[in-house]
Amino acid sequence: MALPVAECYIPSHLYPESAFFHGKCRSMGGLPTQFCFIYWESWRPWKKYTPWQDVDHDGQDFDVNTSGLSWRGWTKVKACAKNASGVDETKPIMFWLPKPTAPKLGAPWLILRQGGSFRDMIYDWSSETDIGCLLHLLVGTRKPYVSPVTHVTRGVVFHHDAELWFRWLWKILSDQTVDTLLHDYHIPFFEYDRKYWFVALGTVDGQDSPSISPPYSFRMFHPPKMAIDDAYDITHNSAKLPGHLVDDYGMPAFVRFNYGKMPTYTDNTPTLGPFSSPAPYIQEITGLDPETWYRFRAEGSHDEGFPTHGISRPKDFLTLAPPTDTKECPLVNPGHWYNAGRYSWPASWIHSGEHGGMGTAPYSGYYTTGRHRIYRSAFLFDTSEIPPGATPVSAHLHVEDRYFPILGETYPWIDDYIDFVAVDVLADPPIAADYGHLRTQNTIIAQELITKSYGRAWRDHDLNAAGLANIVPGGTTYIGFKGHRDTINSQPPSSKHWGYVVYTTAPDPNTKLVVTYIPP
Amino acid sequence: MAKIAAMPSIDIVNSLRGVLDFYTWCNLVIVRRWPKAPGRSRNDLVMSTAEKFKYVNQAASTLTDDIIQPYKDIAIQTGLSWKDWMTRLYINRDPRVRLIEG
Repeated sequence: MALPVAECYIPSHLYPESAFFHGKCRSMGGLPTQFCFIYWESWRPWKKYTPWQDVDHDGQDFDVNTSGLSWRGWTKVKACAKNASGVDETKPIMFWLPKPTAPKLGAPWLILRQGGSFRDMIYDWSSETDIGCLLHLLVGTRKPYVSPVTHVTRGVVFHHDAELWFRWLWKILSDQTVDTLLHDYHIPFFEYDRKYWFVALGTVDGQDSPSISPPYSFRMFHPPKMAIDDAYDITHNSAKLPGHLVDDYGMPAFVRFNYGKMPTYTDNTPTLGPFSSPAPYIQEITGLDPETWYRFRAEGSHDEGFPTHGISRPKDFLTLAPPTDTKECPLVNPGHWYNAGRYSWPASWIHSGEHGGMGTAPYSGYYTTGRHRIYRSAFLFDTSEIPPGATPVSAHLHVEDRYFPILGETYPWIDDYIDFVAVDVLADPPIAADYGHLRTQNTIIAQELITKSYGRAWRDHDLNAAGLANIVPGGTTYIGFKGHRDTINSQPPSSKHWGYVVYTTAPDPNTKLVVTYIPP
Repeated sequence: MAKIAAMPSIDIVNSLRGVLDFYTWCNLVIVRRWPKAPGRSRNDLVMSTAEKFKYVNQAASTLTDDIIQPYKDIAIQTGLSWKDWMTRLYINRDPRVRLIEG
C-alpha cells in the first residue's frame, strides 16, 4: 500500500488568535485513514496537532478552525495524512495573523436630545444621552475640518473616506459628577456674532468611551438695537407707543413693547415683524388706568420667541383724567312715593308739602295697636339721558329734607342713620312692612348720620361705589331709603324715635340725582 | 466578483442558477455573488461591534433633526453619508477623528 498524499492551502479567516486551515487528502493507491494539521506558534519550537480526523473518501477536504494562536510574528501550518503504510506531510505554509485591535474601553453613548439658551454672555447647553455617562464638552471657535480621502480612477475623483479635525480651546465639564443621562453645561464668554463649535467626549463607568458627539455649532447673533420716542395720543386709558430699529445687524427683527405701571413691565404688545426697516413701529395700548404713570420700552429680537433681545431705554408717561359728563336726572315718581301708603310713610302723617317719610323707632306709644312700624320709601330717577355703557364716577342725591324728633324727644339726639339702598333689596312688590319683613341685606349706597335735628333745607347725599353701580345708564334708577336699624327680623332697638321727611312734589325738577360719568 | 463586457438580458439573468447581482459601476458592468451570511460564529469583537452597529442604525431613525443635522454637516463632500459618520463617531474614536487642543 502506497502512502497517502496530503495537501495544504493557505489559511483563511485570519484573526489575532485563530485561523481556518484548509487541506485535502488523496489516495494515490493507498487510502489514507486519518488526517490532521500540524502548526507552530511563532517562535515556539514545539508543534501542535489538530485532532486526527478519519478519512472517508479519496479527495476529502478538511477545514479546521484553530484557536489559541498568537498574532506575534509568523506562524506555520502543514497537513498530515497517514495510513497503515506510514505518514505523509506537506511542506509548511508560513502566514501572519493580524494585529488585534485594541479593545475599546467603556461603552458607547449617543446623544438623543440637545438644546440651549443664551443668557448674559453664557450659553447654557443641555443634552440627554441614551445611557448614563459623564460628558466633557470641548469648545472651539474654528469650524471642524473634514478632509476627504480621495483617489482618482480614469479621471474621476472618488472619496472613499474622510478625516475629521476638531480644534478646541476649552474643555468644560458637565454639571454632574456621576454618570447620568442629563448633562448641563454653562459655557462662558460667548460673544455675539461669533460661531462656536463643540463636541462631547465621555466616560462610562470611569472608562473612556469610544463615542464622540457630532460637532454642534451655535452662533449668538447680535440682537437688534432698539430705540423709542415719547408716547403720544395719550388718553385716560390708551396711548400710542413709537419705536424704531437703530440697527438690525443684518437680520430681520421682531419687535414689541413691554409696558406696565411704574416701575414694572407686566404686559407685552403683540409681536410685529419681522422688519428690517428703521421706520417707526407704532403700537397702541389700551385698558390703562386713568391718571397713572406707565413705563414702556421697545424690545427687538431675531427670533419670534424673543430668547435673546435688544432693549431700548425706558420712557414714562401719565395717563389723563377720564373725560366726564354730568347729567341731572329728575325725579319721576308720579306725585307721591312709590306705592304711597304701603311702602312709605303713612298718608295720615303727611301734611302739606310732605309726601313721604320714614322712621325707625318703635311707635308703641304713639300707635294704640302697639305695633312697631318701619317705613321704607323709594325714589325713581330718570337716568335715560346717560348713554348706555357709561361709567358713573360720582353721584349725589339733591333733595330738600329734614330730620326731627317725634313725640317730643329731647336732645341729646340718638345716633342713627338714614340708609340709601338699592331698591331691589327692598320688598318687591311693595308690602305693608313691619319688622317681620325686615331686610336681610343691607347694601348701603349712601348714608347720613343723624345726631340732631336738622331743619328743612336742600342737601346733597353722595353715593358710594355701590350706589354708582346701582345707577342704570339709559334707564330708570331706583334708590330706596330706610332706617339703619331696619335689620333682620328683630324689633328695632331703642325707645327713641324720630322722623325723616323729604319735601317734594313729583314731577319735581329740583329733586334730582346728579350723576357724573365717563362716556362709553 | 467579475467584470463582464455587457449587461445580459433579463432572460439570461433569470435563467442562471443561484442568485447573482448584476450592476453597473463607473461605466463597467459587474456581476457578483449575492452576499450571504458566513454561516459560522464570529469572534467576540466582531459580534460586539455588530450589535453596536445594529443599535446605532436603529436609533438613527428615532433622532430629531437637530441631532441629525450636525452629522449631515460634516458628511458634505466627504463621500460618506451622515449615518456613516454617526456610526463612526458612535463606535470608533479612531485616528480619522483628530481632537487638537489649542
